[in-house]
Amino acid sequence: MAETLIFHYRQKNTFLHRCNPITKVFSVIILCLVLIRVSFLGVVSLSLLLFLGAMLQKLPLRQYKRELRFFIFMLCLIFITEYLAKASLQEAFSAFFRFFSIILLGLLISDSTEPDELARSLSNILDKIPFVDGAVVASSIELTLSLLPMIFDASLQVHTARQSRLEKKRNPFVVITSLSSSIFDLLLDKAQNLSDALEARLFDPSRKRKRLHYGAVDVYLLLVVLLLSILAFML
Amino acid sequence: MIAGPNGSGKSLLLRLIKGLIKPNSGSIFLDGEDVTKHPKKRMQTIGLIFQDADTQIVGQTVEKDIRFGMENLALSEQEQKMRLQKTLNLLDLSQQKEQRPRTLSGGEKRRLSIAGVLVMEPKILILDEPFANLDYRSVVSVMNTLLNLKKTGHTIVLVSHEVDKTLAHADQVIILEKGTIAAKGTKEQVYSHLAEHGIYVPKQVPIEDLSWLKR
Repeated sequence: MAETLIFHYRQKNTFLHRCNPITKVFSVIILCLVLIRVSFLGVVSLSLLLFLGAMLQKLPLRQYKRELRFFIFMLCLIFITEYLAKASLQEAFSAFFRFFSIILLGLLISDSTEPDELARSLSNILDKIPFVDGAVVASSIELTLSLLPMIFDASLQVHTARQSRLEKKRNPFVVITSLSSSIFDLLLDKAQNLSDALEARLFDPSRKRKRLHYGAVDVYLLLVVLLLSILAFML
Repeated sequence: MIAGPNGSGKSLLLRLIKGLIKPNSGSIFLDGEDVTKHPKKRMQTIGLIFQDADTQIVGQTVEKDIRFGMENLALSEQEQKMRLQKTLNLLDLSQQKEQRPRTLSGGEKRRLSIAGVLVMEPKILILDEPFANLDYRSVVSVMNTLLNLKKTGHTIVLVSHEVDKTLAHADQVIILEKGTIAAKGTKEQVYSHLAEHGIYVPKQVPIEDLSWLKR
């Protein structure tokens, strides 16, 4: 099986790893909202500070190089379409940095949060909403998160297989269309196998899970997020 | 042991036995009891280990993956700890307890997939091509694990098309061909019919030597 690491949890003992998953989700939501509301300077500063955070977290960005190409392509696409639509370089760069920050936030949360811990925390919160089965929603989120690396595995497998059969370089749009059907087929197979394996081991999505506790690190994280937000609004 | 050429229906049969696919007709009996009428009991009684170990592993660490099935069985923490330790020792995975499954070798992944099912204490352990895609050292390790489990009283149903490397350890053999039972009996009874059903066995080799451990 191809080894891809992007959007994978890495077992470490960093500040973010020790935080409760709910605090991290809440922080990501706040920062996303801030990114939408603040000025160009605020967006750029926040992006740079998040990048600094990613460095401190020691995200293995070099190892992600291959998988990040898709996001770099998307970033360029966003930049170009925004520029063409609004005829403003500042607006285009704003959209570029917003998307860049969202990817960084995604990388930081997936790198430091185990899917089952996230599901466990969400389950307890969602259960309080009337007519919502928190455990089922949380299990769906957990399974979706565990499928993300599978998508990268499948695409890398298909791409490598085609390369080894000397596929000629073509227009990226044609390649994406042609690759997606093969990747989708492989992904369906893998998803079916995963579903069978879960069923075979008596997986019950509605099972209640143990509660995760909050600690001082959660308060520190919220303080950092608050400071970043204030700074971004002030610029 | 269930053997047969590719496409003979081995994996499909396993999924039917486990209850992952509903049969159009017929019943599945276990110890004289029709388990088709008790799907939950069947799921607990039969442990199925799939051909692709990677998609079967769901935990972020070896320990978490082994615990996954026990949590689904709602076992107490004390019981989980006890079974975890026993299974880690049995499958020689104690050193890898904290390791991420993706970083394990092929043989270790296969042993982990066995551990994840075995810890749920099924009566019958079914393995679909457990030696596929493994190097020789890993094959020997998995084979020794299976032989130890057999010694400790576990019923093992092994599905393989590599009869020439596993037949020596089988008590009962079923040969499948095009979805039907082409032959069944003890290894001695079935041995002479293998070639007729498109299964390769080297000539002039005693049955006891048809083992990965005799390579």
